[in-house]
Amino acid sequence: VSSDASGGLVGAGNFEAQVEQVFKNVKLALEAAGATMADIVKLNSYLVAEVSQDDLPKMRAIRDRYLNREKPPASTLVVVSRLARPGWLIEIEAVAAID
Amino acid sequence: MSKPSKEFISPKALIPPGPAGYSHVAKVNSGAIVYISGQVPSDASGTFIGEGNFEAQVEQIFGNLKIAVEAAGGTMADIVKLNYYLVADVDQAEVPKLRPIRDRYINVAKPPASTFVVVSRLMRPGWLIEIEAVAAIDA
Repeated sequence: VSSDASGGLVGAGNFEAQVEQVFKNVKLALEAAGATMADIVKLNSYLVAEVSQDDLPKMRAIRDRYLNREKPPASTLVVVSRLARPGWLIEIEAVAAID
Repeated sequence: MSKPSKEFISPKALIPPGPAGYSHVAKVNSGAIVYISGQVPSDASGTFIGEGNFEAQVEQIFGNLKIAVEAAGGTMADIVKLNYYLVADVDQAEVPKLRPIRDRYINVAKPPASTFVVVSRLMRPGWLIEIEAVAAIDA
């Protein structure tokens, strides 16, 4: 989710800033397990309903800076009513396979 | 004798799945794990199939899942987990119509573990359901 290590919400009301923070966090998590972003085999995105449909494409440019664009993971995206904390606009989970 | 590569278990202490067509537990003992993206009612050309028609969309999605699992060298019987994402504006009375379609595609004797939730919307307006799968395919 769009929190930094201190627990603070990053990018209040700013969808792109939140997507950026979330991918940063996914990368940190993977690296902690000895993996890279290219090891991700599955990505599930949970978008909050208040995010405008028009903002959705903005995710792509950010995602494409983090993922292996030649071999992108299997992916699922759904829009949910809300997440655990008010203000969070997106949550992304990943499954990776590490050699 | 070696263990089967997959076991589908519904413990007696849990509610019997009945017509809901799932197993409580799918145990993978061996094989390659395959993740399949949430499939939506589109064909290979990107054409939206079954606009406003729930059953037609479900049919297209299961057809897509079959194509996907076969591309990985497996069959529908190799699916160990299905996650269903239904859009909130689909009438609850439509939901059971999913079952006969699903039952033509999955192994009804050993159905996958499953999760079914209702979401606000999906990526494209008009899509009524998205289904993702995890399969385990014998080497």
